[in-house]
Amino acid sequence: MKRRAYRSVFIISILLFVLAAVVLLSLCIGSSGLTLSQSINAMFSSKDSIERSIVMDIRLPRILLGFAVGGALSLAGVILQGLFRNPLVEPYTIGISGGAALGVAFCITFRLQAIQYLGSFILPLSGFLGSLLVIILLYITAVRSNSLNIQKVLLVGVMFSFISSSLMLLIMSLSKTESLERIIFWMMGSLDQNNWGLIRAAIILSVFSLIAGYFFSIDLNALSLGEEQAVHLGIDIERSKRYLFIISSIITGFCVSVAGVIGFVGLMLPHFMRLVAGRDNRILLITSFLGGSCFLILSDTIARTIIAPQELPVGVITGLFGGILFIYLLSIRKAGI
Amino acid sequence: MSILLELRNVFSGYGHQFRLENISLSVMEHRITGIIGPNGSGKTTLLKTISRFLKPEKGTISLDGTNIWSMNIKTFSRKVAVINQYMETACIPVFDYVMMGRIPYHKGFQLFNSDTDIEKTEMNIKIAGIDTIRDKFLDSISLGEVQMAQFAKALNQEPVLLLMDEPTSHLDIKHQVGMLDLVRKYNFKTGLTIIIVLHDLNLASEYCDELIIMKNGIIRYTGMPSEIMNYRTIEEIYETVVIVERNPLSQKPYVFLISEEQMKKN
Repeated sequence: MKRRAYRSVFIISILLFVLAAVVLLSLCIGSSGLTLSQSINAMFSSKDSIERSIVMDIRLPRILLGFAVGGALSLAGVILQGLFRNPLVEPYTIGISGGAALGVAFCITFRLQAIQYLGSFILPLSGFLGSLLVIILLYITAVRSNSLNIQKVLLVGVMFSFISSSLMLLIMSLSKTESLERIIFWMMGSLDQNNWGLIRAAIILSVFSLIAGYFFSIDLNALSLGEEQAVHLGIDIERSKRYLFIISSIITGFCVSVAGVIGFVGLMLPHFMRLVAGRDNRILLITSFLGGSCFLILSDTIARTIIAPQELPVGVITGLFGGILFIYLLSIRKAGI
Repeated sequence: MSILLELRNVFSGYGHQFRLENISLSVMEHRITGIIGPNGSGKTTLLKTISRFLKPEKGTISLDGTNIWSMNIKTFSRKVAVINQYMETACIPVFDYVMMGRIPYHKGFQLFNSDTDIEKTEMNIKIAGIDTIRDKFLDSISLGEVQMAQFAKALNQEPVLLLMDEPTSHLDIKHQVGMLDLVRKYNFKTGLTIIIVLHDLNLASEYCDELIIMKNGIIRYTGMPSEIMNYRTIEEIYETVVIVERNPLSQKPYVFLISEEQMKKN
């Protein structure tokens, strides 16, 4: 049985190695036509050059954001699927992304970005406020006599999703073509973000939530048997449910606010990692985070190079490649979801 | 022999719906105590109240002299384990499932199972006789095997009190007897105190030292099977005509059912 511990360490090391490889690859290829050696030289040279600026100021921020957002979305997916005991749940199911989208659409339509001193912060900020509003509403409706009714969170969340998409349609039908374009562009999701403050915040928040989520990994294992069994195993389920809900919804809200609605990472990666690395949440949280990071960085690299100098929305790549890969994996494995 | 579990004037239930009224009872240690009664008599509610899943509205429940609600939930789960009648089968291997019984002993930030956890799990899997299916997934084995896995998981918690809620209700006679024989044997060997809710009166009579008979949320009779299992009690509680005879080998009471047709003939 020691074997299992070794296996987990092995899988995590492989993922770290893959992550390093993906990061390096992504630093070295792009639409500017730099050769591999040029890119590598630019990375390690200290003097300012166009090459260095392309690698460090254009490619690196995207990679870092991909690391944070991919990891966080995938982590939120694992937590929510475990919490709801439902394999179809993903971070966007419970309406948080809808709230964020609504916030952003509101901001664009009413030209709130004209507010001077907030500058480029205003879009993510209004998105985050929108998602926060949904989180709070969800929480209030689902808490009864000190107990968080998790099935109710799911149902109400799905309803919030519908309501906010209707409101989105309303706002979009009333707004001008120029605003419409910006809203649609935002909704497609992109890692193109040049605000270092936001990128740093995303990295700190996602790593922090991985650590915080980790404290509840055993609780998640116990909850997989149902709430009653978890109580009998000595888990304070009300506390775990609450913290897990808050951790996963806050990081979802933040990711959506910074990078828009990048689909599929939070749904597929947890399943993929369960098939590859097993369902013990103590390992699964880490593998899913790393896997999500690798997957999103790689997808973004493909999205920005495949039809260069044009760029595809990264969601196109995550959906297409992820979906096909996942179906393939399901068909060769016998064990169920 | 001393009292392990004591309930004093306990009122409990789900909101406005069904409730237990004024339950007082003492459970002796090292015994197997059976709870019987018709559907909806409050057996499961009582078990859920004892297992700390339901908080009583009034009254105290003490285990070994300590109020269970003043204990930390983790401490409590090292003393009391529960086996349910029906379990939503999770898609995990039997070994991992049994290992979950060690969760009360896990430390906060523990990445891997400790050697003790693995040793105990191996041992309890052997005790429950499920060694051959340890790598099979829980949703691919028979219900009898699932119940054995539940038993092994419960033992893995190293409890002083084991609560079982109709553990045999969906099993055939081979697995019913197999399960209860195992429970009885384990009780003899280690002195583990067991409270078991049973539907089958004859199994209850055969395997329990002590019986509690419930109806409409209150305890109606308590005592040894030979004292309280007679046709008068059973007919009163279940509103059904029965004949109670003795099992020719064990001399324990045995309940025979009588059909309406048969009754008319006599």
